[in-house]
Amino acid sequence: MENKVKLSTQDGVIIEVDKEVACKSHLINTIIDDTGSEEEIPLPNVKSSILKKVIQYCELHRNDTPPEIEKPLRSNNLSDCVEQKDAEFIDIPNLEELFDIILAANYLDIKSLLDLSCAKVATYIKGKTPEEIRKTFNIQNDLTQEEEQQIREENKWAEETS
Amino acid sequence: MQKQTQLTKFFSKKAKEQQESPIRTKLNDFVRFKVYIWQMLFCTPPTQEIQGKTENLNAKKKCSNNLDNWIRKSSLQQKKWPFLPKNLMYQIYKFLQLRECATCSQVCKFWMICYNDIYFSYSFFREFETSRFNEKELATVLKRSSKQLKHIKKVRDIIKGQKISSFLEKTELRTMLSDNSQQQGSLLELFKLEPKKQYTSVFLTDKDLNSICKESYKSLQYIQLISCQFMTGKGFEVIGKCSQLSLINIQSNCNLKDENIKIILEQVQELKTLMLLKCDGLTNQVFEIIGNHSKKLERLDIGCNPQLDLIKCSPLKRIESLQSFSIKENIVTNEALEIITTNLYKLHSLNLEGCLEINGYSLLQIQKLNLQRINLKKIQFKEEEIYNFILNTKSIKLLLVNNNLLSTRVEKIILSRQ
Repeated sequence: MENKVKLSTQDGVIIEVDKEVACKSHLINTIIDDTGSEEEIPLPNVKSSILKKVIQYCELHRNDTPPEIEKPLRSNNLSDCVEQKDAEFIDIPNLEELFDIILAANYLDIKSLLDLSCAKVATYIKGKTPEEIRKTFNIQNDLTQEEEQQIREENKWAEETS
Repeated sequence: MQKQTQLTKFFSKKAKEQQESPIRTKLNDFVRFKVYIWQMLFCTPPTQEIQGKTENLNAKKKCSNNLDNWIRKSSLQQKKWPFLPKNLMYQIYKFLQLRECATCSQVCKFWMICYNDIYFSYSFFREFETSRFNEKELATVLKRSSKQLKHIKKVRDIIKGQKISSFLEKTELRTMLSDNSQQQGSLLELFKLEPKKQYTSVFLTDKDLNSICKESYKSLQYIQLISCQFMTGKGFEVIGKCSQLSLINIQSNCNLKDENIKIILEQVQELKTLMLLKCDGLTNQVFEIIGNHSKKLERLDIGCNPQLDLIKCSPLKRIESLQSFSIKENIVTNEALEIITTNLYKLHSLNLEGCLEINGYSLLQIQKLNLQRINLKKIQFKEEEIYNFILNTKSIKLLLVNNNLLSTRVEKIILSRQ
């Protein structure tokens, strides 16, 4: 019992995890250090489906700390930049889920997961035109024509080099 | 941290008291509240930067509001953009090249705002490691940043100590920077704001200095041009227009020649302090020039110029007012010291830091001067030598030597004089 921690999520689900795994989260680690692991730890910002994913990641790295991801990314293919198991883990087609993981990783303070998920989003951006990015992320273009003109003017150098 | 620990101790105690009470639900609430506090203290909600991390109870109430707000906002954000708060967008931008970030700014308003904010944030420069920029990217960063004065200061701080000087030497970047009038404008602003402060204006060009001197030639009293690698020797001559100058400090410039100094000193009559450190272009002629033209000079620093032969420094004796002379990190032979002590006998302060030729015999020479301050750092002596020196030079009030030479008896003498 001592090596387990109970985490209660936004949607009221209680998940039991190994303490060692849960402590990959800096937030949880701090709470346990202070209050012990008997009481369940409420995580009002995280949905159970997302928390499960996060725990899955922590399990993956139970015995290691992943190396820093190289910046800027070398390629659009994340498996060129991170370990295979990480690349497979973060290969989530649903963007909304991916963003939720970013938010959760940030909230739970798991830096390596935050980096990994942000790098994944970055691969969706890399090498695309603004229009393609909008399409990928389903974003409405709310820039006025003048604004767009001005940005394009400022970014001329970027187009030249690409 | 201290406060936080105390706080939690307090709460744990409270919690224990509660445990004894029969009402179980209350306890649960309380533990939740406790955890809540912890979360607020240790995990900043992503959108907020909570200043009051270490502040106590009052701040906590505020934090809890922030947290609530954030939760509410974030659930709204599930529906449409922005999905992510700004600081997390930044986490994503970190993995992109600068020009890819620029593309992102064209996506929508929120992404544009993120991009602009990121651009000007200090952490941007730190995290993006300026060294990985290519030339054009760096030029853009500098140009954009220079639109706002405070950012140019940031850029300056960042540039300091980095290898960017090698970037700046490349001509393309140089023209890009100097052709940008906005850039010049803010450099000018900066100069006016901090005329007395030392700053490393690596990208100042002849043109910039020209406009600076034209604008404020009447009022400028101090001018410090350090590591201005783009300046030509001729470009410095414009300083002469500022006839009110009392301090000129030009450091680390190999283009500066004797004749440029001559033109400046001929015009600036009121000069009290002249510093020409690390100017490889100067020759022994400079002593003659300074001696002839700067009659009111009180302080002269020609440190870090090992090419100068101080045996030739006798023309400096023509300056009646000269009190302080710094020749640190230069080659100072006993012969040269002899010249200094016989010609510049009015000196009050002498800086010989790092002049490794100095030895015990030199100290006997220096005794002839009525020095009040002397800097002998980085030179090895015997403690005995320093003791005798300080005993015999009654005027010395400030002695700077390597720490191992500061024995109690030496310190005692110095202290008694102060």
